Amino acid sequence: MFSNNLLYEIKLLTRSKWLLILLVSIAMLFAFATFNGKKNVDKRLNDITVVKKELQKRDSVLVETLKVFEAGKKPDMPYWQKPNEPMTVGYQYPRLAIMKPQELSFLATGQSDMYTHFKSPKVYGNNFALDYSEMVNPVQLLFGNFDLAFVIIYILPLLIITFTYNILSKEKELGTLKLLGAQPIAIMSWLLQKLAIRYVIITLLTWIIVLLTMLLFSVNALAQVTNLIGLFLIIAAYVLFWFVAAFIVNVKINNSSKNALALIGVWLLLVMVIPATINQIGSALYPTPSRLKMINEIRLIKKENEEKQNEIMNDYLRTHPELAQNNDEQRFGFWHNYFASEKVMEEKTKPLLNDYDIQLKKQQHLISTFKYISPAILMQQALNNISGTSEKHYNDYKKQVFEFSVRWRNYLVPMLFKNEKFTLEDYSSMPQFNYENRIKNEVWFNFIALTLISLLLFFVLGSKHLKDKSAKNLFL
Amino acid sequence: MITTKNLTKTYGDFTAVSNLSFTVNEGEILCLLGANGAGKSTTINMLLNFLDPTSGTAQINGLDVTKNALKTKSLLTYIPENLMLYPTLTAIENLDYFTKLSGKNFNTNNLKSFLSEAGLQNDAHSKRVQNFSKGMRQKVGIALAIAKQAKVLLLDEPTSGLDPKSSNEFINLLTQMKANNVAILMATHDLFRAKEVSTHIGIMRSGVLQNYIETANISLKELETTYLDIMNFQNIS
Repeated sequence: MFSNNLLYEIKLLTRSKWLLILLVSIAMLFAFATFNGKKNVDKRLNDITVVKKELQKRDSVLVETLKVFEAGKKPDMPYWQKPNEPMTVGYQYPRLAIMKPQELSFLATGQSDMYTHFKSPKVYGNNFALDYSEMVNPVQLLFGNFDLAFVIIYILPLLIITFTYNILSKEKELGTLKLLGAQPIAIMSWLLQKLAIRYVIITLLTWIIVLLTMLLFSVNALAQVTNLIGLFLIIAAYVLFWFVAAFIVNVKINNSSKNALALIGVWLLLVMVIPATINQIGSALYPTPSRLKMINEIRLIKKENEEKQNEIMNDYLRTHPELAQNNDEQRFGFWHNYFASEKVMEEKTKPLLNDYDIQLKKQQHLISTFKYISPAILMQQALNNISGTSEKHYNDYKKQVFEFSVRWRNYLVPMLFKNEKFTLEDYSSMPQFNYENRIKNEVWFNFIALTLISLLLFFVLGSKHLKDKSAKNLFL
Repeated sequence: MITTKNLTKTYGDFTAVSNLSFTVNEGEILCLLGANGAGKSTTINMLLNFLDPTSGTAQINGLDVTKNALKTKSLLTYIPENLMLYPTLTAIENLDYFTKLSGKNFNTNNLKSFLSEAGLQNDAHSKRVQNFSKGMRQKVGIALAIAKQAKVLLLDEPTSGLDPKSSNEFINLLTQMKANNVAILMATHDLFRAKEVSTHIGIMRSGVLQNYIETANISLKELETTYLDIMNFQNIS
């Protein structure tokens, strides 16, 4: 029966022009979304290239000036501009901490339009922890991004619905169902085969179009084969979910207009209402503290520290004896005082920054807990994960920048306290930032979860119909 | 052979078919006459296993239709009042699809010969059925019965809406099927065609078989009088 169904299903689909319409719709939507996603990634890469060039330019000035100093000359420049002073290097020649987009970043904009992708942590000031946001176009915030994730999560289910909502009811309304029912076949097997054939067609079409659009826009997807396989599998699982929904609605309602309404209702609930509600509940239950208020509080702590500067310096040298020279020649300037009070600052500001992180983590935990309610949340998480644009990626990037800023300071601060000069040799051994994607791949987990949810729904809600081989209730 | 024994179908307090018993042997045609709601289609739906009988049994060639649904369906062909086929497939493709679903596999020449045998003009064989008349679609249905070598033919008001020529052609096809030892059960309103083609006539009212007549023993006029008497009794009661 299967080969017969396959042959005639393809004939029926091609002759009804449905397959062509579907193919063209998916191809156009995917191509436009890939173009948009690629444009965003190219903008990120372009921004990174510009800042890299600026750094190279600054570095060439640094190296030339250091050569002049090492040749024994004394160029006429103020003390705070001399690059042989470690703090001048630390403040005026910071390294770049770049988060380069991944090959598949075009898939999902995720948080990439909210956060920056390059920072230059200086030896002075750690407020960069609060300064990661990008200026975002408010219209874009209102309507979201038309990227591939948007097309897959929001529009693909609608195309699947138009392709499946009347798979059984059409036979009933056309009058062919009774003729089919009079043949020696189990109508439920026939229906499942028909759905399976359409499922394979849609999944394959989607995969092929994704690959073709990647080729069209010169995306080197093979550079991330594991993620590419993950992408294909999660698409297959998401398509499966909507086919299961169509199966259940078809066997339970079996009336084309009612089927369409029911499936659109399911789409609205699972793709729009539930994710938005969970998001709102998260923000209402665990609001993130005001950034402006935090900056003000940090300023107050700073002022308080300045008043206790001597006390702080004594404590600092007691805990860092290697930096104390134990003679009267050691002078403490602005930078000495700044680094001495940095630890105190860090301890006092930690609870403020922690509040922000804790609330954010609670929001994320809430979403993680309820993600199984909506396949759209599972899908969005998976696509952001593949793209490297999830909240987790940006939080980890922030963490890596912070870790690097500590390395950067620790490289220069001992020179300051030991009154050492910064040399060409020091330049060549300066710490460099290398972004590492440390976020574990959640795609496989989400793929398994989505598949299991679909199968569970299929067997639980469809069990009554699956057991009834004669499927009598469908014919009349 | 079609056999029903005390076949009953009720929906709550409403009885659609009550204690219906009849047999249609090979080479016989039983026409069930009756007004709308008399229980004719319900009987056919129970024979097709689309409905479970509340009590009693229905058998095709000695096999209970509820216990051997797939086996009995392989022995029968069903032609509803308005036989619908896949409009974008040709007559040959429709026949090929449904015969393959019945477990039979024929080449195109065989399929064409079945369609010709059923009276469908040769030039229509390779045309999509979307523009076929009801009569032409029913011929495809008969071709399916021929291809399946059906032992039983179930027809639900097959001549309603057909023009006299098509109706006549269809009745001739049934006569041929009868000659080929097929047992035929036909639900119809058409007394004239019933008298013309059947071997037996059953008149149903309110789910009950009121009269079971051997067609050879009754004239058309007598049949009409009997039928109207039963229907009038219904109206009076």
